[in-house]
Amino acid sequence: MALDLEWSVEELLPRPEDMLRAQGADPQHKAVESFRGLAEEALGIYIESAKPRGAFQEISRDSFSEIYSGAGMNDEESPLTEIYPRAEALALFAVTVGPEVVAKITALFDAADFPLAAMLDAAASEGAELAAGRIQHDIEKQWRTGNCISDAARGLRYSPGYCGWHVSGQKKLFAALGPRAAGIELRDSCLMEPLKSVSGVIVAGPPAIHDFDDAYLFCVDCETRDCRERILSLKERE
Amino acid sequence: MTYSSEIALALERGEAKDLAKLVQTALDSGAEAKQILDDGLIAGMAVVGGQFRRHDIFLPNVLMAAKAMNAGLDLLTPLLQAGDNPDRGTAVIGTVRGDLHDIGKNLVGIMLRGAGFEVIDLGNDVSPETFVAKAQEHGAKVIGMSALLTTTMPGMAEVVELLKAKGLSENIRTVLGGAPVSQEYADEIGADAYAFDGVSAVDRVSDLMEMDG
Repeated sequence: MALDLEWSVEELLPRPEDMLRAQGADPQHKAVESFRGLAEEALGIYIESAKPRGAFQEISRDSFSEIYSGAGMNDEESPLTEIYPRAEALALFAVTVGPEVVAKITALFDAADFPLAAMLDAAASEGAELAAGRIQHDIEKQWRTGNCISDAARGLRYSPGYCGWHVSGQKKLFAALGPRAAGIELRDSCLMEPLKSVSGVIVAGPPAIHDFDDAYLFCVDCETRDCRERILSLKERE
Repeated sequence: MTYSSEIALALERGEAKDLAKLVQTALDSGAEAKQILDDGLIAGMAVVGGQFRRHDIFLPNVLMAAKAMNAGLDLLTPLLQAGDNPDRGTAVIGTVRGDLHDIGKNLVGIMLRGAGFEVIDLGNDVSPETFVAKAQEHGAKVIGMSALLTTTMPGMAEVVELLKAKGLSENIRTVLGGAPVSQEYADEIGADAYAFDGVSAVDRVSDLMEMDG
């Protein structure tokens, strides 16, 4: 099963408080009052210019094994190596909020409107994550409807460039998704164009398969450790 | 309140239009552009940097201040004499190959320009070869590199290695920044300096510019 999807921007609207948090700001802090209006202004531009869309492609464990091997640059040990062989279903995906909003961000930076540019940048990043969440939701729903996964199964997304999956893995991932997946193209460096895009694999299976200790070599340099929140979120979804 | 402190305060509050008016008023009343730069803009930005380090304010506040600073610099730059704003040297900056996160790098660029450096901003997703070639082309003494992804950090080491391989590491120094980067990482790959934020980036670049090479 493979699908191209489009959503209205209103369906995937970033919350101003999440945009503020994305810039390290505590929405309750008094210093935020001086730029709260900036978040609303950025959101207005985002609504006018973002065009969220995505594509996904179901894939077998064997086929994913080949894609995951990428250019042979992954960390020797990584969570996904242990996770995907136990999956009930897998799907490659790519989502973007489109080139128009990225062009707006660039234009604002060029015009030296750094605060609005950065706020719009945060909105677009949040929007891309929301689109990734939406495509995950959509495919899990289809899997459940088609009895492709068990009732207990839960999905999580994993992306090249994170948690030991080298960013060069993008090449095989995009080759499998097909050319210009969701209008996204890869640069030679494996960065996606438009920049505000997210790609990876959705892995569905028993919640326990997603659990791992953050004790890998690459975890030492990881500032976010958001894998902990992601694993915790599975319990909330049970 | 002096014109300098008013300008500094406008900058701290991120009031770009007010700051531009204050700078113009100060110029019209005979103030020296160099003094406005030092006592108004740079002094204000130093306060903002301190507030940011103490977590009293956030990145958007700093960016608002940077926008205000830019508005002031637009007025002052044409008036600064060569001797007023001495050529403090050229820095090439960019986000390393495979990385698109450039807000921190942009901020560093603004701060460096404000401090009197010539800044060549190469943008994001910059290859090691481009960093080195552009540094040579512009006669830069410093390459500033930023990364947000741990997987793109090795691009920094590639630049350091390339400079060594070309025999340029004594003439072109390197400074690193970005969330996953640390002094330890800079030491490990043989970079010349690490900067925690925009304010310290100015300090580090100043130090590197003064090194013999």
